[in-house]
Amino acid sequence: MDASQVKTGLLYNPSLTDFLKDNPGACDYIEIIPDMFWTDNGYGKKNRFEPVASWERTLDWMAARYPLVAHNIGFSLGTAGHFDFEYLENLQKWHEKYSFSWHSDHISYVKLEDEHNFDHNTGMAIPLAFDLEVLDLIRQKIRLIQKAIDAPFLVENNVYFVDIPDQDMTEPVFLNMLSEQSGCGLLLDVHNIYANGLNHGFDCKEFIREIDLSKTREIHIAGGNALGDMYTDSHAGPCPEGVWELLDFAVPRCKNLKGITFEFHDSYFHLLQYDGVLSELSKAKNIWIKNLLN
Amino acid sequence: MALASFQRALFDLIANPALCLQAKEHPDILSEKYELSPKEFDRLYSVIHQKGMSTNCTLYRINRVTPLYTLLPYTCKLLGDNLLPLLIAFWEKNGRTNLQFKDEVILFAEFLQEGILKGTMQIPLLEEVLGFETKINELRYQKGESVTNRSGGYTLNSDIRVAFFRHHPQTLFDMLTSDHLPDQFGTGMEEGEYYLLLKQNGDEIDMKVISAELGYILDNIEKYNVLPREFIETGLVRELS
Repeated sequence: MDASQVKTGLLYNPSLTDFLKDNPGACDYIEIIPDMFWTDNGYGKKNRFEPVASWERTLDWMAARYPLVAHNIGFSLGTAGHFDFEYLENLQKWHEKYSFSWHSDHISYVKLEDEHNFDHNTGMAIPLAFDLEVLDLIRQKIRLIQKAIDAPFLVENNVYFVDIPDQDMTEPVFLNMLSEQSGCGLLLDVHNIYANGLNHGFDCKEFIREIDLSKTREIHIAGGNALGDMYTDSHAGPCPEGVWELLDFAVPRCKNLKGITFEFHDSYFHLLQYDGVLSELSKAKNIWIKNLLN
Repeated sequence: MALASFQRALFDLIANPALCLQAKEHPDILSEKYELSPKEFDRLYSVIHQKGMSTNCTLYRINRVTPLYTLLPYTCKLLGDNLLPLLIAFWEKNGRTNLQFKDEVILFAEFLQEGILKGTMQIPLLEEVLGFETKINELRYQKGESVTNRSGGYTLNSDIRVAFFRHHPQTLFDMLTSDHLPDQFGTGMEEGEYYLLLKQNGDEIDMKVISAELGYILDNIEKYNVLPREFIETGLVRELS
């Protein structure tokens, strides 16, 4: 791998619209959460996924200038007893239109099985127990996704605020088994690892060592802040020093890395402004290049 | 399916801190309400005693209130200290959500309007501010022609809405965007009959105060079977076949 293959990206939020127009080429790709670009009218509804016109215009503008990556929410991989085939079909159409370089979703659940077929959203990404039953559940869903969408699919490690006791395996073992058995890649969110390490008192570098990082195609970096006694993955602006350390630790171990994506919530743009966003992208790229040269 | 039941139980606990407290005092309610294996019961019992559960509950509430703050900002500001108890009551009534912004604000607006109609929600200026923001959101989320099951008569064009105010809109907006505390709202403001015309203009919504005569007609358009041609030529209404 050489320096030209080092790619950094931004997770799109509305504060970036002007930034992207004023700073062409600031990043190498743009990651979108497709669910933000449509209104979901609910299961079984005709024209269920209605694109939001203004957002669709922005997306088309971005697609004309940048490779796109999709960071989905709606698969809700961890939901027991339910898989949203309509969501899969819609994403398939979007992939045909936008040719995502890769796409991803989370090791969590955001929807509940509902006997009335109501699209019940849990309001947050609820963590899963790392059990064989859950592994099997997610593996089957990944196979359906891979069959329908011809782009690499990654799973992202989640942040969690409670420890579920007596799990069948550790999170690294779960991720390794899932990627091995399903063929999916990993989206390594180092800020989530950082948050979990702070909240649950484990060694983040040891955690990263236990993961088969050859499967890591993308890394997420972000900032966060405290909420009571916990540190949250709130995407609150600049990355803390601990996240840069973890990135520096992880990158040389990720031989198949394709991109590092900086995430921030638009409500924190005031903490970054243009210079701050450029600085985070530049730092990420420099860490990658430095490790390539070593 | 036990896992589905466990997931629902964990969600219910996150969405309802009172249920967490209840389960701490009387853990048997978990087995009574949900189909759980012994391991799953032990897991829930463990998590409700962890400090991170409070974080989960808070994050859930933050995510549920975000659509309301985003799309009903003046209403939320006006509600002030009344907001949290109203939200708790709203979430108890609407425990299931698809978390679509459009649907959340419609549900919350209906919840508030019900309170206004019943007289249980007597907060100065609430009715007109909520009415205004509801009309803005209708324009924001509708596509194409407005849907009506009437035939004959007239309806507003799809890019038009009219909001009624008892206080001059500009005075009201000046107050809402200032640092005045909510309990000062409405005091000393002259009352009248004001109508604000809202017209969609691309991604923006243009607003202007119109005459009470015109405003009344537009706001009650369904009552009119005949309108002067020059009125129809304003482009504000269309005839229903």
